[in-house]
Amino acid sequence: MFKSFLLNRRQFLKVAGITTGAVVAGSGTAFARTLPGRRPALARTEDRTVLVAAPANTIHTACNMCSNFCAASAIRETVAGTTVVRRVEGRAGHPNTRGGLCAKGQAAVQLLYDPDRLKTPLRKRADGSWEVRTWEQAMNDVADGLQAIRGTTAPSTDAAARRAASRVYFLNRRGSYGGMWGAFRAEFGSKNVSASAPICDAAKRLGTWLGVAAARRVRDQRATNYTLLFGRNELEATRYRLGFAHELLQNIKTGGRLVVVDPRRTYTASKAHQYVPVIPGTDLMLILSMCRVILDNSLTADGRVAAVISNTVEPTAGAHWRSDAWANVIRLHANSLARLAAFRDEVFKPQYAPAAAAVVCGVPDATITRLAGEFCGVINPADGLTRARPADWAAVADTTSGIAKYSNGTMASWAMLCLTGLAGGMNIAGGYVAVAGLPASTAWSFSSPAIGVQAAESLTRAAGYPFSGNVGTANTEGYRTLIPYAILNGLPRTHPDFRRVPAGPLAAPADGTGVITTDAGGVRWADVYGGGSAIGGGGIRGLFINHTDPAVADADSDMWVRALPRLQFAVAIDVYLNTTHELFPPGSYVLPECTVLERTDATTPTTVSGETVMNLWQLAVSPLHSSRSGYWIFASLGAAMSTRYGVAGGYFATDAAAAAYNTATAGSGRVHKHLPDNEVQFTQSVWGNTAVGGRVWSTVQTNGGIWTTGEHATAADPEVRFSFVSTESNVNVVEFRQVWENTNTATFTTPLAPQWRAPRNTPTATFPLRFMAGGKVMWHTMAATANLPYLVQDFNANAEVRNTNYLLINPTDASTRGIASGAWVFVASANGSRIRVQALVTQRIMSGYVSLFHGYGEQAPQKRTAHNRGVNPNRLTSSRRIDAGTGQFTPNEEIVQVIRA
Amino acid sequence: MTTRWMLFDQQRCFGCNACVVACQQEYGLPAQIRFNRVDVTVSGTFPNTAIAFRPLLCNQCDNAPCMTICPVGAITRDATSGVVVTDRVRCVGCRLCTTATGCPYGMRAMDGAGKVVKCNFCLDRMTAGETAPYCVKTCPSGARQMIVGLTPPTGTRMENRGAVTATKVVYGDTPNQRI
Repeated sequence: MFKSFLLNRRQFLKVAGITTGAVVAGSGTAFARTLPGRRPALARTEDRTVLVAAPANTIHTACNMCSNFCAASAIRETVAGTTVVRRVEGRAGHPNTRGGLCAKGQAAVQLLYDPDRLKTPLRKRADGSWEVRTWEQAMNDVADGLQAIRGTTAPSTDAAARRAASRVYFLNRRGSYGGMWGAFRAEFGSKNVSASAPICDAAKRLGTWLGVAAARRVRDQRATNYTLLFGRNELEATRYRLGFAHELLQNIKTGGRLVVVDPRRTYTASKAHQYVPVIPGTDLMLILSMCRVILDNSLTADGRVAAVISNTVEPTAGAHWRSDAWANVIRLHANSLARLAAFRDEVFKPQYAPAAAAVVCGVPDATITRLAGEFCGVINPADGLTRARPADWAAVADTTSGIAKYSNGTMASWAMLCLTGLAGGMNIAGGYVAVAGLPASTAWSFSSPAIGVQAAESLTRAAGYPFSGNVGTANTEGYRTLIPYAILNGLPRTHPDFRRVPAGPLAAPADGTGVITTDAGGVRWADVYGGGSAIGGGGIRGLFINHTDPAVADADSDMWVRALPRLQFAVAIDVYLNTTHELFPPGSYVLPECTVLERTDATTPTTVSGETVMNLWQLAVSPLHSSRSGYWIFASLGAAMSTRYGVAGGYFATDAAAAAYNTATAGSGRVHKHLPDNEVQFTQSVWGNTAVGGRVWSTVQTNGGIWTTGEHATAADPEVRFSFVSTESNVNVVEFRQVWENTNTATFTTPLAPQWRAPRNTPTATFPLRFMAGGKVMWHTMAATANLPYLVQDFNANAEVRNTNYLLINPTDASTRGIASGAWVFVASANGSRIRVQALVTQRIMSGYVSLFHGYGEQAPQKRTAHNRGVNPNRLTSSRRIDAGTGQFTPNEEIVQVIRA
Repeated sequence: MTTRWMLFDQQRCFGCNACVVACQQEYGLPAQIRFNRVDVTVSGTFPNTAIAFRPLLCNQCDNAPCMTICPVGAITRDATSGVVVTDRVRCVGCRLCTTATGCPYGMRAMDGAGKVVKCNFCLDRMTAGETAPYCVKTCPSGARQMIVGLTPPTGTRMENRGAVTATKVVYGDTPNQRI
């Protein structure tokens, strides 16, 4: 039973460089003797013995096991003369976490000492095996491989060079040093870059932008009276801030009311006062119908809103509009009357009447009406009777990708803000809050002038898709769902795997008219990528992947499986050798980056959490094996490119922004150097940095220890605004508006208001069940953690995620198919793929809908724990059906058939 | 004399298993062994499905059946803390205390050396001034609390927030009841 565990111990000793052979005696159990980082032995006979060994060495750092980046401390000790990490702890009182740390964070030590980690650079042989290479060999070969695609040493500003360089696509997800990676891409000259937004929350970001002219607003959970969550599952998959879970539960215990709208009875729903099942993909209809009820019955927080809606009051154009009921200022745009009237006109359409909406969303009309009244505070949930709106009432609606990953996801995300706005939840305590004091991105981000916005020449734009720069990262993302098509486009047209890049809604028609981009040389970029109506141009030939596994993580996984071997060259940076790497063509490279506990990283503002809090990753132990930090890798690769292919002075050394950045960070107490030179440890908490405009912890403490206190918008803050409609001319939304208007001619309105659009896919006779590839959970983060035994253990037979993934299916649907819990079933979708998986028949999911968590189905044999564990549900989801505004694929509206295997 | 009391707030517990992994990491347990787990129960019919979370670890029972059943007297109660402890030298690995009779909660296991192991409230990990076991420290929702005192923690703190269970309660039958 324990054989494998003991083996792991020997492996640990080997990887940790402990060669003394010393047996570290236990402090309590036989397990303890075999632990990495076990305390020195003490004579004892009982497990209550109090150890008096030297205190553990604590290094304040941050977690990197998911994108929440929680504050954490690494607890070190010395074993046989070697410093090891014993465990990782949360940071008491941290505003982002409330002091806790999830299972994934705890397992960071298991990742650090995982014997299956990449240990050296590897080059793929022709027979598919991997060859160990030195870093020098790797850097030179990678430079050569990339250069062979670019084929020129001309400066990256040259059109022809940029065109050639753009055949290398840069794909990132959760890699560290993203700024360095982006800068390398820019120096190399490629205009193609994607991160995680197009497979994550891009629709929410864009929807938020439409409402508040910013990519993010954060709800203030502590002081909320009424929380309405649409497809947001805080207690299974806390998004953006671990502290949300704590604050939500605390809020419930102190009188706050929680209502969860979801097709699945989630853990979060189990804590709710009311659970509202909804037909998947129809939340937008529910939301807009609630808005109609609010306006129709003058339930708005401010009577003047109702007056404006009814055309009785003309607000001052462009003025700040201070409401007595709203604790702060909402700046309405110019022509407020017309804008509000447009919103009113939209939601007063017959389709949004509760009785009509109920048919669409499956929520009874009486429930819609009651929820609207409760949300505005005028119906008491306890007795269902009307009441005066309580003083300081705060209600907030929120979501994540739960409603975003539908073809109406952007609109749903925006409408949700409008609902909150009508109830007075914008920019108040307990509602949505803006974040003050966040430093300008140029102050903390590695920013190269060459990074720029590359929309015009990118694959995304060339294929005719709108570009919404701010839905992504500072690198301005393209749609990663297009990548495999652009790779297969390079095959001969008669090849069975030849594919065109799916044309976007703005693609030029065959006659050459319409939106089409050309570069300075007059070259049509669509021809370069084979996008839209163009003839195949060779597409994408190279990939530079930073910590992501698209062959498992992305939609249409089988398309990636077809495409990746067709590349000319690929290079990846990762902790593991994964499925994607195994599909690389011969000659490709995988470079081992160290884990977060082995490096000191530049501070990363946790903008996703809305905090003016910065993280500092600090080195707890020196990098194991031959792994290196991302900084070291990018700097070294830049040097290799410079030396071999002639950029005077090197990739980064001559970059003015890089120099300025390094100067700035040097004076701020932060460090941005590669690891071998950096052993600096900070003993103080570094949660903010006054040098770059952030706040220090003491400031937060002054504000009552609560991050939102004192941070609400003020009249002096010109950026805090909210609109029910959009006439934005901002580059981030203008093309989305164009697409939406072009495809909604029957209901076109100016200015644009949130509008209902039905999901494109609805159940059919062939595929009668709706399907969702479920997201990450508290104890599992997709491929990144699939190899850690602590995180894929079978915690409980009734746990939402177990040691493998199961298809969640309602007993009614199971019964009609003769499926018992635990039985093997086939699941097939319209994209032609079929998977075999075990069923979990449960009352936690509505009839007509099945769900399967992703993060399983790893195929790389080097990841021994993850290998062949469970199945990859992303094989079933289509990448051709995307949200046109954001490039986000829409897996949540997939339809399938399930039969007994 | 009991001085350590573990309180659970089941309204706050949401089955994230951070406590399980924190304990496993600290004690170097293989994934199959848990000193501490969270039971999830599902009842009712959709949409009125109820999901409940119940943290479980050694109850440090007043009338601990494991102490009674041990044939070699290896299981005793620590006089200072009230925690049930196992003498690893005396333990012969007979597994009687791991049976349903020996521990109705199923919270005892065998380690790789054939000795019985279980939760001991992290007594041997506490340095001066520190009382919170790692499961308590890591809990993202604050669902756990370690109370140190001579009297049972009734009517105070988490109890007032409702739906509380506590290990080691004074109304100890055999084994302890939960409140």
